[in-house]
Amino acid sequence: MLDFLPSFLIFFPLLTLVIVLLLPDQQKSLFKIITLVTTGLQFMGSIIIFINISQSKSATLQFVQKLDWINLDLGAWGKLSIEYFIGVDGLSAGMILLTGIVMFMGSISSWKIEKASKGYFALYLLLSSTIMGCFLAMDFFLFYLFFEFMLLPMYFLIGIWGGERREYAAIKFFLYTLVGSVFILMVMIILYASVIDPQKTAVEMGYAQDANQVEESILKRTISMLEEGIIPKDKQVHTFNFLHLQDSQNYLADASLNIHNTQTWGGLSLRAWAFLALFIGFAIKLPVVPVHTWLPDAHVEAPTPVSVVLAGILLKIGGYGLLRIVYSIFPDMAVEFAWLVGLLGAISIIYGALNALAMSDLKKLVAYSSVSHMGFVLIGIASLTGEGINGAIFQMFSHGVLSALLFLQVGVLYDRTHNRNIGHYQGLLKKMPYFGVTVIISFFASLGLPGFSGFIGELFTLLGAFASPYLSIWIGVVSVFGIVLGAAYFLWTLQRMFLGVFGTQLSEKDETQLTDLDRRESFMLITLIAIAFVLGILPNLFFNSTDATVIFWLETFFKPFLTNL
Amino acid sequence: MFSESLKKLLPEQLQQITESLAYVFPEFALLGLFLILLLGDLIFKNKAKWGLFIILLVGLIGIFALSINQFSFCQCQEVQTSFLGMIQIDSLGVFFKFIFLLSAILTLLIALKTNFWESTHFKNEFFYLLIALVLGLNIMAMSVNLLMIYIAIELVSISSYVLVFFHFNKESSEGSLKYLIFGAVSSAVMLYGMSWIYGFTGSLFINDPDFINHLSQTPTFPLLLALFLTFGGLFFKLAAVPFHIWTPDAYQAAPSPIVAFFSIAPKAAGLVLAFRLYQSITVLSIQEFEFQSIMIIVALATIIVGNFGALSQKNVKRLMAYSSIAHIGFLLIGLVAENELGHNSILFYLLTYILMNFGAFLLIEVLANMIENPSDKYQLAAYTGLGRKYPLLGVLFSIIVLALIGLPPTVGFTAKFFLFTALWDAYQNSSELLLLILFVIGLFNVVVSLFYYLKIPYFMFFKKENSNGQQIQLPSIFQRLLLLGLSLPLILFFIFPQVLTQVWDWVRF
Repeated sequence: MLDFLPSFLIFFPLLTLVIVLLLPDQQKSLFKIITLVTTGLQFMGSIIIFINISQSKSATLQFVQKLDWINLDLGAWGKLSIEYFIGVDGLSAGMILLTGIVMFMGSISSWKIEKASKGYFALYLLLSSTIMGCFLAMDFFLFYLFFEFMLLPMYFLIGIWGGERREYAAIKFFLYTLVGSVFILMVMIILYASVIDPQKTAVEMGYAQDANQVEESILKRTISMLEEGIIPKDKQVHTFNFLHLQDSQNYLADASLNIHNTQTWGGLSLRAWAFLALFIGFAIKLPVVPVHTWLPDAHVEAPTPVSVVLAGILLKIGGYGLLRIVYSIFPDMAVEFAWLVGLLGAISIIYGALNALAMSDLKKLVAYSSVSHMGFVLIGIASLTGEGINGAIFQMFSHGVLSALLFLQVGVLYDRTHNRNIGHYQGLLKKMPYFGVTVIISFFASLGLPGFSGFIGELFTLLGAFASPYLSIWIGVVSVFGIVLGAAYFLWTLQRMFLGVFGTQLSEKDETQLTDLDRRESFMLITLIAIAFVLGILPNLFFNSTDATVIFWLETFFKPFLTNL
Repeated sequence: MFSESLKKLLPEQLQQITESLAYVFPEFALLGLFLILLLGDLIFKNKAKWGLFIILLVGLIGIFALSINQFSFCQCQEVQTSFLGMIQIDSLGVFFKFIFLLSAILTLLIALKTNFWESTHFKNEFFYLLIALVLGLNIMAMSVNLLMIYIAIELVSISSYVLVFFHFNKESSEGSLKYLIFGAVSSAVMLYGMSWIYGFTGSLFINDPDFINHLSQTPTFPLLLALFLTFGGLFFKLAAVPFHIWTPDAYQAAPSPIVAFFSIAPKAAGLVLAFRLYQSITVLSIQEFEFQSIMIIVALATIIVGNFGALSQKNVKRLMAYSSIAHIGFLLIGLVAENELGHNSILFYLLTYILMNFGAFLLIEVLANMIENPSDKYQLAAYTGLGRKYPLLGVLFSIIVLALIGLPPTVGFTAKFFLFTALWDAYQNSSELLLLILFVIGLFNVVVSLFYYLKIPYFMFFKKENSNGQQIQLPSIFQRLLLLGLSLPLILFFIFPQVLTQVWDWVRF
């Protein structure tokens, strides 16, 4: 009944985008209201989806919509099938809810955008559509379309509405992410050239009439013909469907990506190269040290709502992509390279935290804390254990909420004084008590105080890392140290900026701007704190949505490779 | 004895030639149009500009319609050769003739209202030189005889040299002279290569079985040298490395509509010829024959030189010149992949490239009209803030730029996607390491191209404008419609690529 919901999440913003474009430039308040209503509806839709997935506690894909989009006959090479295939399971349900929350908060936080507001809200709506599409797509081509299409609104949002060095930051963001995308594109081309859709191929071979009703025996026959390599080339239907790409039976016998192919390039199989290329592609997005350098620039220069979206959601596409694509399609390599992924995770945690410790700009500090916190996601994923992966998804959600919170708070300060230098403030708690209290709570939540979501995320990823047979114990040990560093930079900042006697190094005029939170700001901050708190107390609310899928996922994809060790 | 046989042979040949005339009807129509315009210009002089324009436009559209006839003719019959086998009528050639005509029509349409059109220097010779060009290109697309190829290329080149000069200023004489010198040298090189090949084979017909047989008996090194020299002339037309040096200067000097034509039509013609020649030599024994490697290296070098050359450009037309070099490199991928999909991708890529290229040059001209300072008209820096002031133009230019880079959701992505699929397939089948290198480096060049293409939206949107509201010439309704007509299909064809891929069923290789 609710199957239309995912499509609604993708296309409704596009519809309202058209309305925004058609309205005259002067209707500034209308743009805001339309965007708010659109993201509000998206938020509600995502809640419904999330609740449904949590309640069903099954690993099957739900809210499925599957339509043929592009079917091309490429002559002797074979056929190409691209599907409009969307659906939700435990891997994506949380991310969709997160998108709903953060985009909604972002649109409230955009309330003060005055400069060229029509363009701003149009791009914002486009962004919300593409992000939803990215989490919903179950077809690689569709995913890539949304993944790439996201860059453009982001580029303009940073480059036009950003801070002083916005142009540099926007181009750097675009170039870095595009390098990642090209890695992904490369593997995507190789993948779809190697994989066929068994149902549609059976139809092409004349064994069945309808691709949706292929009998089991015919499917088996097609697959065994595929193994023997006797399906003629022009009858092969190449596919981008994730479900087919994940199944090693669907690979052409002579494809270099076939799991039985022993040929090597520079000592590694093509599967290993493909895994690494995809990993780099998503690692740039995540970001993982050493390919993280775009992040501080982009975060710092972006306007507050865009930083919120960037840290809150866009980084998660990296983690989500790793789970949905890299690990699902190349589980064998995921086992083989677990040490590398774990190591990079640990390095990110420590390196990000050390950098955060050294920052004098509050927004940069938050940006580096993101690098550090996303490192936990990486070690959770690398662990390949139930608790680790569940924890990684939880940590992504939790970090989405908390980083949105932190960036909003930086924005509160910046809106008033246009100064984010930590050393220029002192004793803010006295001047802005409500603001100060929310900052104290969110800092403690971020540094992993039990009772807040950050603690659960870090705990579970670390549990996974310690329990994992693939990761050296040192990965866990070093990562734990990251929590200590996290406490250090958050507490130190708190002490410097908020405690003590009030005083600033601002001009008098700016100093008078330091008023406490208004209602709009309190609403956003309190809502996000409440979410972090509830999830910290009742983490099962979230784990209900992921657990079944994660267990199923580990069982089906990783079982054959787990026993090897 | 000798005259006896001649007596018998001559009427036979004459009859064959008269019969052949039916096959080249469009070319004769072009010739007729050429004469009409020439006479019209002589009689009415400059007063007849609009009249001649309309005659030419109607004429070209008429010939377009007539060629559709020829197309269906190719469909139902075998490949036809005529003029004693000098030219060959097949669906491939006819497809390219459509591309030339379409380009010529678009050239005329985007020329309206531009600087070049309004300038007092405008000469009606533009019209019939354009026809002469199209005629030459048509012959290029049909020739299968080395001599014929040479003549066609010369016809195209000579018209081109003159057209580049059409701004009639110092800059354009420099560009045109450079073009002429490089053109003359590469023609000589090509002729030299052809003479070697003729020496090896004793035949000028590239589709002659003897031609191939004799070539396969030739030692590798002289053969490679001769082929590379012959291809040199084509590389010059394609503006492929190492024969690309003329491009930026010629492009900068020539009026934009003509540049837009140059960056499509002659290159497409060069591609057909390269395809035909390449096709006839790939049959040769594969083992020690390294010509594919040479082509791969040329493609790779062309992509790299084009993209890296564009990085530091500040003039839009020079930037487009380098970008067109890079695009030719991508098109050559379809050639070296040596499979059906690769060849089909070339057709697809060309069709999409027509849209983006003409769209880009029309926008360049529209924006040039908006820029006050004459010396800044084609400077990227002068685009400052124009996108904020005229969002429609900015958005359309962004779409076109996306397509040129090859990002979704534009058809530019689809085109590159097909090419690289074909390339990967070629690699899978041959395990030739160079193909893998081309695959990887070619894809990463997309990132390089992003860097310079993005300068356009960057200047249009990110920078605050510095002008203070001077009177500028806004695009006419016609230009706006044309712009929409060129740029919106870039997105539509991404969603419905099957519209363009129908061509694959029509053209047989």
